[in-house]
Amino acid sequence: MTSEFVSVVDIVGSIRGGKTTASDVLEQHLARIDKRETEIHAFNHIMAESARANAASIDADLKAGNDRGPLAGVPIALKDNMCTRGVPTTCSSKILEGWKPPYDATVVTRLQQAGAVIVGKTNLDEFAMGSSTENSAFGPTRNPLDTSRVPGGSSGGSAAAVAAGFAAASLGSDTGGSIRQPAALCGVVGVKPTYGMVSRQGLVAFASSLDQIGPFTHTVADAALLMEVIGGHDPLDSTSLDQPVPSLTAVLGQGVKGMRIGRLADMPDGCEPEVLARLDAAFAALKAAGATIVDIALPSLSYCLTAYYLVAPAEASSNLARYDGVRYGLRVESADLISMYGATRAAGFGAEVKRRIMLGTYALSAGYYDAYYGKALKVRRLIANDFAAAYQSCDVILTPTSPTVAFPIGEKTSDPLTMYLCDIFTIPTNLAGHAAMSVPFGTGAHSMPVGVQILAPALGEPTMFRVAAELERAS
Amino acid sequence: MTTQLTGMLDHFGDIDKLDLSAVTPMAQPFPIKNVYREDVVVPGLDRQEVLDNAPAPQDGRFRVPPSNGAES
Repeated sequence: MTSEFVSVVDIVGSIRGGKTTASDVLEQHLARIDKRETEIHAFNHIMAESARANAASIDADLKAGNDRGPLAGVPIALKDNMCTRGVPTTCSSKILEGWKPPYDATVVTRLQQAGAVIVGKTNLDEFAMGSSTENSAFGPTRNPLDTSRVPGGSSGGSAAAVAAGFAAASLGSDTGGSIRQPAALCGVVGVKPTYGMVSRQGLVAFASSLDQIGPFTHTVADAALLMEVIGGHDPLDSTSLDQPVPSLTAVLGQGVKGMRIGRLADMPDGCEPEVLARLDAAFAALKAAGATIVDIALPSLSYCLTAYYLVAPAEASSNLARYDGVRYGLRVESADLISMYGATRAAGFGAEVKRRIMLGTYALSAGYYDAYYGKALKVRRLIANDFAAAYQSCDVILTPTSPTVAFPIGEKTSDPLTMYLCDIFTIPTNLAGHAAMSVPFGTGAHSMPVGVQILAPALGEPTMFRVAAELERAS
Repeated sequence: MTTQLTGMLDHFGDIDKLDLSAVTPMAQPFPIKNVYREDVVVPGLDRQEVLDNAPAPQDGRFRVPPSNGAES
């Protein structure tokens, strides 16, 4: 954790202990936004006025002796694909510019009930499609640690907001690595929970069988606390797991003694040597803490990219059919209905979204369904089987989160396939529906942060957080 | 964009070499089933709030161009 910023746990303790107030904490974060937001562009929408009112209300309640919840007074930012009632929610797309949802996402309600102060909505790759936050209709977000470089994506604004101290924590969504990769590139903690552990109600859908909401934080303990607040069953999401979120804050001190840590016997090509060196250091730290390192194989790993980039666009092409210019968002007027649909979508969607809609509709079309989408679903089964076999001999698997550190803005925009390769280590978890998180573990090339990814089976969050806490202690 | 899409589809051909004949497709991470709630009346979205988001609301409805191209 960067020493100049204060953790969520410390903010909560200071406010409860009377050492500071929610309003003072908020003003410190708003001052940082004032100073650097023009340069970084983490936000699509800053909610200073409502945040000040909420902070004042929390301070008044605390002064009166009322408990306002486990996150009372903590400034939190939301990826701009989570619905906030009466507050613009754009998905960084022109097609939703100006839309004000008539309801809150479940995670927003849970944060508010826990006393969090929402400071704004953060930038993303349009509809969460990208790995660099360069695909936003409102311009790219820059990495706070080196503004010539990307923050990663698609939740780049949420990662940057935490890394720059604009918010003490933030929420992102992860369909193929969109929380973990930007967390790694910005030097913060990022969690992709088990599919179904966090409600997707009110998260604008990209690929519904892959999407999950999770937190960005400075520390592992903060991430555990956020998970306990936002997780748990939601009757409004039919894919929500019908069980309570496990206690995570309670396990952080339990260490890794006796744990079996999986190491890929065959590492995919393309990793920077400095990234691999940090991964080796992470294995060494866990071994020194009493864990055993075991070699494992994921034979289908190299096919995951293809499976993902067929399944996700296929689901997206269906989900994004709702943007038709009728009920909300942009409309380009035309003489007839079909022309209006076409003109609206041509003007409203950016290049990457159009690319994926075309890929998805092609993969689902009658003549190609079996050759593309059908095969991709079978490869998805293979990777799930690979994980099941691997977890017979290990408790968690450690990989790099990203093969490289943050790359310069513009470096990969002309070749989408090269950009897709950024996701090689993060995609398999989403296909399987498992848990994974990225923890900062030193720096690599250009002194930029390196993230180590911890992969765990479904509902393996307690074990995963124990490993994360150990790596944090060793870093 | 045509060149990019062609390049991607060429890359995606890598799974053609796999024998998938005995593999069951996996569309969802976990088995899912229909979920029902009690059939009782609950508040819906605020009608005006919904219509305020429409590009062309008219008389409490969503106005759209004619589907056959002729103005009515």
